[in-house]
Amino acid sequence: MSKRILVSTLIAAAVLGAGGAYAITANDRGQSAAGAEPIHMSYAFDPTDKAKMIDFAEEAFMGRVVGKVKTIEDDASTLWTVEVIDTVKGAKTGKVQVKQQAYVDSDGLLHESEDQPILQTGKEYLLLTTKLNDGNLLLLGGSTAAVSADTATKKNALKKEYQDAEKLDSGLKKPARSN
Amino acid sequence: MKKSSIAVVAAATAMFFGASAGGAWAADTHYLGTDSVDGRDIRYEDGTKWDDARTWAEARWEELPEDVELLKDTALTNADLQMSDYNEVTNTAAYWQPRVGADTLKFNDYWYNGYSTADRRNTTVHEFGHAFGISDHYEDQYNNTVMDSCPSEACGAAYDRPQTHDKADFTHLWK
Repeated sequence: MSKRILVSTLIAAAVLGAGGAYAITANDRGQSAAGAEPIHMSYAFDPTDKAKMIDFAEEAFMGRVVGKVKTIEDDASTLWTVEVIDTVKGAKTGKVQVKQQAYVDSDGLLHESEDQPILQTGKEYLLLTTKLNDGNLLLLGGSTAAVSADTATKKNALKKEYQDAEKLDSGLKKPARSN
Repeated sequence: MKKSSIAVVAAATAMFFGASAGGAWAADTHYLGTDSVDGRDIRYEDGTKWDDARTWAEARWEELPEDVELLKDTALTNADLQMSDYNEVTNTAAYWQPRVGADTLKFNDYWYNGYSTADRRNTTVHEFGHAFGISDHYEDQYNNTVMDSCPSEACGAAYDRPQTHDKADFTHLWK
């Protein structure tokens, strides 16, 4: 093999190798076109059924996301500080900490479920949660558990909609807490 | 797709030039474009106590003719999937998450404890479908599949094994 052919072959191999390494990395992460990596949930009941969702929730409120407390990668989640603006169900007031199953990893890659985008600091939402043993709250999964509420009109409409839903017999059978 | 052989390099190189199977999958809504399969198997770390559901789901996918296996991780292999249990009062019964390194499959004891054997099997078979790269099916016409996104509580029938369309999706990915 001539020196020129050898050099050309080595360059081609380097290019192919770099391309292969890039492709393996990108594919292993399973990045979607949008750059987010979905978490695939199996729900125990229909997460679009507001009557069931508000029945299952232990605390429901309008809240403004103050900021991120921390990312918990092992738990695929983010802990947020949220200021309660208005209570829909339960008795939470002031600032609370809410855990959401979504996070940005150390490489900057977003992981979130397909039907619930990660919360945004400064934005206001209707949030449906349960109580964690550590005193924090856990955001339920699904689009109806975190609804953007950026105007007073929308907040009022959402509050009424969910309070009306709470009056319905959802038929939900909730397992008892084991701890 | 996790690969660890020369075949992977070939496939990844093909991806580099825009001609991979992975690129084609991304265009189809029934395929995730990622999975837990490495070569022709999924090596998993067994950290779940739900053995009946796990072994049932393994058998139901493995009996398909494409010969893609679920095998326990050993000291000589790299885990592609970590199965474990957790306990949170939430509406999620289980989830699968692709990650750098081993992917994650978690079962929520809060629901699994009260589930019937059939409920646990149905849910686990569905989650394994994600590990094989099949996405949730949202369209009503796919209510009769194991990968239907609608919980049986809301949509009636639940399936404890891949149905005709699930098998077709699996074959598309792994033939």
